Amino acid sequence: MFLNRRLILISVILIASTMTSALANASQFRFALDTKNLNVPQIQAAQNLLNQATALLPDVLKNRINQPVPVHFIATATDVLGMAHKNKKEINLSTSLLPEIEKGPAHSTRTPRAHGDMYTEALATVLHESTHLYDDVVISSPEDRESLFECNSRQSMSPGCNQLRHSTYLSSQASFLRVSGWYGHHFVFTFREDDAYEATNPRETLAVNMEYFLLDPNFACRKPSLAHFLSQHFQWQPFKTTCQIPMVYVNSTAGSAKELLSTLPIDRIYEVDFLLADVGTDIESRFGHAMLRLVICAPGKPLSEDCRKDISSNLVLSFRASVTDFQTSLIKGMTGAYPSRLFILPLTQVIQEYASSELRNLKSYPLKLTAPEKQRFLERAIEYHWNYQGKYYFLTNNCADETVNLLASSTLRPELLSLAVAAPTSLYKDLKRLNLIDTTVLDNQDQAAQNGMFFGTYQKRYDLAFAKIQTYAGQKYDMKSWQNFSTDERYTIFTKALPQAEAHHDRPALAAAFLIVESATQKRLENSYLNSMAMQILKDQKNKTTPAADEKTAAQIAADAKQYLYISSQLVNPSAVLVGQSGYGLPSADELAATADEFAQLGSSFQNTQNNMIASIKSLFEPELLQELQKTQAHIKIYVQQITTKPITKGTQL
Amino acid sequence: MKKLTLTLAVMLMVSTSAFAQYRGGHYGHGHYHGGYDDGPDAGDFLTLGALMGSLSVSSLDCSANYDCKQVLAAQDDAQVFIASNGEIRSAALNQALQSLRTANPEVSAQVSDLDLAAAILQAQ
Repeated sequence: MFLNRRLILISVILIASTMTSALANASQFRFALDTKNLNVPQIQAAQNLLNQATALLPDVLKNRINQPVPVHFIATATDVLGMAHKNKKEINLSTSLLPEIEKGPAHSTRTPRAHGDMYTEALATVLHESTHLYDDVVISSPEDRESLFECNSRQSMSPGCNQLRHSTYLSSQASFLRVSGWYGHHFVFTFREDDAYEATNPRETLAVNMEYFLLDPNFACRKPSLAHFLSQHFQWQPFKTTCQIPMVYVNSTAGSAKELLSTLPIDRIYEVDFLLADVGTDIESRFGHAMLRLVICAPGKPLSEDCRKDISSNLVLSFRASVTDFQTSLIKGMTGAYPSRLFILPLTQVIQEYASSELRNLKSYPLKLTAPEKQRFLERAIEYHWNYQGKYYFLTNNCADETVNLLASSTLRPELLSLAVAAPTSLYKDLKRLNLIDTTVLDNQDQAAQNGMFFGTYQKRYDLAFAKIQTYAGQKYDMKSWQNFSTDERYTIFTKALPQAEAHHDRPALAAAFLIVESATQKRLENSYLNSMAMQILKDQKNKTTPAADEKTAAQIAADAKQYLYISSQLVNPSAVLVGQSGYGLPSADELAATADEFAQLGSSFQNTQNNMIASIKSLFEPELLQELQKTQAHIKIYVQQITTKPITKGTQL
Repeated sequence: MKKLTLTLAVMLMVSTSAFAQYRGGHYGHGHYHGGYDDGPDAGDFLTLGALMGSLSVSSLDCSANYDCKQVLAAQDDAQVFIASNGEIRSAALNQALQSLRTANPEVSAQVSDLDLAAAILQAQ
C-alpha cells in the first residue's frame, strides 16, 4: 500500500522533472526576503543576491521545493553564516553577511577559502541552505522513514533499503553516498577537500558540494564523478564551457624523475579487467588480491582484443599501502602500516610480484562496462588516486571491498551498490553471478596465457626446469632442495648434465632450465638477505642497541631508511606535495605545473635513497654470501651463452 | 633508463647452429627423441652466409623505447620458451617476437622464434 503510494509519487516527480522547463514558471518557488530591520540599500543588495541564487539553482530543485522560501537575516554564532529551517522551510542568514553583500563581489573581503570572497560565500550560503531544503522534502511515508532509519543504523545495503533511500533524501541515497565518498560512517575523500565541513555528514556533503557545483566552472574537473552525478540528478549543466580533466597520476615506479608524474593515455585504453591474484601460501595472501587492470594498447596500435597482449603498456589499479616487498618490510618495521591507497602500477611489475615472487596465478577477466561507464571509471580511479584514504590497513583482505566501491561509485550499477563482499575470491564469484565479468576467457589456460589473460605462477616453470634437469642429470630436485646446494655444487650439476644434453642436441633447453632456476635462486637469496638485514638494522636503531653490523654503515643506512620512508610516504599520499596549493579535488594543470619541480625532486631523491640504501646494505653482506651471489651471476651469464653459442667441448670450466 | 643493445650478427652466427636441430618443424612436439642432423647442415650455412651478406644492421632496432620495454618484459618467458623446446609461449613473448620481426624485416625470414628468444635473453 505504502509502496504503491511511493511509486506514484516517484512517477509524479519523474514527470515533473522531465517537464522542468515547462513547469519552471509554474513553480511556486521564490525567495521571500524578510525586510524587517533592513535599510533600503541592504534590501536592494540582498534582493540582488537572492535573484542571483534563484538563477543559479536548478529547476528540479526549485520545482521540488515548490513554495516561497522566507529569508531572514538574524544574529548567529560567529562561525555560522546561514541555516535552513527544515519544518518551516525557511532560510536564516547571518546579519554579519549584510555589509559584505552590500559591497558586492568585486569589493567584498577576500578569503583564503575556495570561494575567494565573502560576497560569494554569502551566495554559496543561500545555495547551500536551499539544497538542504530540497534534500529535506520527504516524499515517503512516516513508516518508510522509520524503516529507513532502521536501514541506516544497520548500514544495510540490501535492495529494500536502497530502494527506500532512493525514494527519500538525496543525501541518503546509496548512489550519492558512494559517489560523494561515504562508506558506512567513513568519509574517504579526506585529501584536498573543497571545505572540511563536507566531511561532517552526508547532508552537509551534498550541500557543500552543491555550492561548488553551481559556482565553480572547474568543479567538473576537480570532482568529475560528483559533478556528473549532480548534473544527472538535477538535469542541470551549470556551465556551458567544459574543462579538461587532468588524468595525471604519480608513477612511483617511474624509470626517471621526470616520469614521476604520468598521464593516463585515455585514448589507448581498450577495456578494464578484473585482475585476481589467487590465494597464496602465506598468511598475508590467503584471501587472494583483487585488482583492476587497464588494457592499454601499445602506442600507435588500434584498440582491439590484441591489446591484452601488450603487457608492457598495461597498468594495474591496486589498493594497498606499499610498492615493493622491500619497501613493505621497511614500512611495517618502522611505522606499522599505512592506510590503503590506490596505486597505479605497471602490469609487468604486478606479474613479477605475484607470479614470480609470491608464486601465485594472476587471472584477468574482462569487465562488461559500457563506454560511458569506462570513462566514468577512469576518472573515478584518478580521483581515488589523489583524494582517497581507505579506512582499512593493508594486511587485511579488504582490497575486494575497496575494488567494489571503486566500481560501484563509478558505474552506479544498483547490483554493485548493494554488493557486500567478504573476500577477493568471493568477489570473483559475485562478479560472475552478476554477469559483470567474462570467465570463459580463462577456460583454456594455455590459450589464455597467449592471449594475455593468464599469468601463471612461476612454480610451473620451476617444475618444468627441474624436469628438464632431471632428464640429463638423473636426479630430481625442487626449489627447496636446490637451495641447499652451494653455488659451486649447483654448477657442477650443470657441467655433469651438459654432455648428456649435448648428446641429445638439447643443450639450449638444459641451459635455459638452469637459467630459470638460477635466476630465481639469485633473486631469492638477495632479497631475503636484503630484507632481513634491513629489518635488523632498523630494529637496532629503534632499540638503540649496538648494531651488529659495521656501526657507521648501519647509521648511514638508518638515515637513508628514514629519508626513504619520508619520500615513500609522500608518494603514497601524492596530495601531500600539493599542500601549498589552494585547489581541491584533482590537481589542476596550474597546480601540477607549480609543483613539477617538487615532484621531480621527490622522484630523483627516492631513487637515489633507495639505491644508496641497497648499496650500503649490500656492503654489509658477509663476504661468503657476496661471493656466492657473484658466482651465481657469472653462472647465469654462462647459461645465456650456452643457449646461444656453438656446442662446447666436454669439460669446459668456468 | 634501461638501454638495450644486441649484436644481431654475432648472435645469429652462433644461434643458427645452436638451434640447427630444431629447424624444419622438429620443435613443438615436446621431448625430442633423435633423428636430427649432427650440427648445422648446408642449409644453415647458406642461410648464415646470406644473412651476413645482406645484413645492413649491426644491432636490433630498439631505439623506440616501447620495443625495448617489450623485449625486457619477455625475458622470463623467453627462458621458458627455450627450456620447453619452443612449446610454451606467452603473450609477452609473442609480442616481443613480433616487434623484433617487424623492426628487422631483412632477417625476419631467416631466423626462428627460438633464435629470437635467445636474442631476447641477451638483452640487458
